[in-house]
Amino acid sequence: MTQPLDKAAIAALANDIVARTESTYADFVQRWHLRAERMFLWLMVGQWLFGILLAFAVSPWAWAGKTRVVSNHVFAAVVLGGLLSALPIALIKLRPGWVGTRHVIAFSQIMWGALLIHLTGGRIETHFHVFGSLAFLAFYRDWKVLITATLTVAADHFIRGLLIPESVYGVAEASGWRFLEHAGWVAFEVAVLIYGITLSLRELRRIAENVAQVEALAERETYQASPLPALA
Amino acid sequence: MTIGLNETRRGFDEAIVRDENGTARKLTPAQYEKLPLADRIRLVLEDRVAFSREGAPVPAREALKVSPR
Repeated sequence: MTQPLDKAAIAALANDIVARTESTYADFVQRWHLRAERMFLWLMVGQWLFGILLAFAVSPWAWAGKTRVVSNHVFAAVVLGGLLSALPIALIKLRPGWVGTRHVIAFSQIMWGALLIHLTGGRIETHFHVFGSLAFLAFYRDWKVLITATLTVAADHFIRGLLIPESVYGVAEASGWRFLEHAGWVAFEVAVLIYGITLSLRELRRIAENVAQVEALAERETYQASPLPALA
Repeated sequence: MTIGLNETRRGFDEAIVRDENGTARKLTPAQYEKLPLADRIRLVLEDRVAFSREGAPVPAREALKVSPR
């Protein structure tokens, strides 16, 4: 014998499913965060090794011209690179999924770009590392992480552009405003990435909500077959 | 529950919602999805929404199913 659902039972069931849907949605987003962190864990290790290799193989030529001299770039790659990778790796291990972890990763990832640019003597092609990093950070599907990255790029280029322009632009003298051109291109990419992230999150929520309604139908059938005391 | 990110096609192109006073409203999928989730769940549970695709009625389970593109 089937039992019709009364208004109170329907309201209780609806509220329960809405709460579960929010939880399911939050779980999905959290899983994205954890997957992104796993990727950055390996990236941080790989970049450190790559930075050391670059310091040995490229930096002496990039900075000293025809005379190959292993200099303090190796020290920078080992120590600065180690520090840049160590903090995010520690946070990934100790505080996975924490909002602070992903902002530290964003900062460190962009600063890795800065270090690689420095190690290559401000080589313009190395700036592509920054754009690649933004795409990697978009894996989080958290637009706020991209804002941290953008501010880091702008601050780094501004400060190094004033103090040691060769480190960032590969020239001895550069306009103090040149950082705005670089930051502008970064902002352009970030705007597109944020749009994509927004669409992606909207789609995920829509799917979760449709699933919730289908679940409601299934639970109504279950209830009608055997009403739960809490809803009866 | 397995949900793929590519599974986004809508299973309906029109939803007819009957208010509690009996008034019927035709809604596009976007309009229907703008209703609060709790309201949509209540509409489904109280059988006060009918879905259709290309003019043909579609059961709620089918209309709301997440299907591949």
